[in-house]
Amino acid sequence: MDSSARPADPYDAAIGRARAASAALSRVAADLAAGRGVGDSAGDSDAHPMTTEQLLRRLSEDLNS
Amino acid sequence: MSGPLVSALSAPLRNVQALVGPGWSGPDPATAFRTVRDRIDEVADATERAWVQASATWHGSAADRAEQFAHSTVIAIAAMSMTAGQLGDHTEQAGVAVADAREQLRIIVEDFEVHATALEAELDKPGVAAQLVDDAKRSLDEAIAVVDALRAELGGHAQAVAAAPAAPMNPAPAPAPAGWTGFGSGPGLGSGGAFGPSGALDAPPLGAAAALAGNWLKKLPHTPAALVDPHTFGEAETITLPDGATATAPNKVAADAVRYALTQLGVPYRWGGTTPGVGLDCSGLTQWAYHQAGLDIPRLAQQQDVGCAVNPHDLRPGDLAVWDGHVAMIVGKGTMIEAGDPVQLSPIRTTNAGQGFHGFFRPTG
Repeated sequence: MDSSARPADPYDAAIGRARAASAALSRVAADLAAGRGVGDSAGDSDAHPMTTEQLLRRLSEDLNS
Repeated sequence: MSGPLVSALSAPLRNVQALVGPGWSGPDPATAFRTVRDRIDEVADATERAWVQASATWHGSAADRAEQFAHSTVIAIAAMSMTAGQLGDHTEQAGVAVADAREQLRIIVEDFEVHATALEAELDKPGVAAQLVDDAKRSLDEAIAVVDALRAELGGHAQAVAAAPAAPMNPAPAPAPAGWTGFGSGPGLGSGGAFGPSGALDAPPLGAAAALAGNWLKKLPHTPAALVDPHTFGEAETITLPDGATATAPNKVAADAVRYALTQLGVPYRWGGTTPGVGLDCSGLTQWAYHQAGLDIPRLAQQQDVGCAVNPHDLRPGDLAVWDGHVAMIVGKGTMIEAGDPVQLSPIRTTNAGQGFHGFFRPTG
């Protein structure tokens, strides 16, 4: 048994989750920018805009992963 | 009212906000530490009264030794009081830091939710969704930075509290002379017993806590061996200040002490710290600087009122500003260097957190 092992600091764990959420938001923001936004007003032939429902689902998945 | 998107984006922000609690609840440790300090101050005052009464009618070699012992005892009490006061300062500062962080987080969350709710109503416009998510990320990063800074500050206070001496610092109390039975009829102060039943603990305080050590220590000689003939310190010497200006120190030792002290600008404050480049407390800085310059001065701040007193209008580089629990070194041109956190330059002053001001002193005077 590793005698140097220490129980995880709950604050470290919580801040780690917050940093992961920040990174996830960066990815979502980048995807939104590439797809020109949400809804029917956004988009050209190469863009793939998300609907609000898709965005919510994406956030739910990415922020809780 | 915010919609589901704002709620989803705000959730991680609120999780970070929830990491910071409300601060002290119930009895405040800072107040408790200060109560301890005040009781110790009362002991110091009672000790002084007892010795003044005894010394009025007692002379000779035994009285001299007893005076040395009593002197050491008061210094030890002063160190205990200073420790208790500084522990109180740290716990108070920790409480303030928590309250500040809590307020910053409240503002970050509130600002984001107000702004995001307005954006959510225009979500179908180009770029709005990306802006909303960007805002959420920025607010989250700000909140994480607040918590990181708070943890660092609390860590520093915790380290300082953990490093505080549990017993009086040096100089250790001198051994009690033979036949010395302490103040009053109880066990002696140096015998391992508590402060005896001499009425000391019940005696009303003679003065404010700021009088601790300051009144009496100045009546007693301070390590005279450390001081040499003032004439040996030589002639005035010019030093260059950090801003390029020059100032004239009274002698080479004082000039060198300033030069050495200035090398420590930016070094972190550390309670009890005496290690240059790593961590210094106020008296650690001045003691080290003078030691490097060739002059040993006492360790504790309130003991560093050595040499000659200096009129505030005649301050020269190397002079020391001494308080009950703090000391700083005059650099020149209205500036002094002191171990705050970190070691830094400050305008010359005579106030310091309500402590009693002993005055300005020239160790080489």
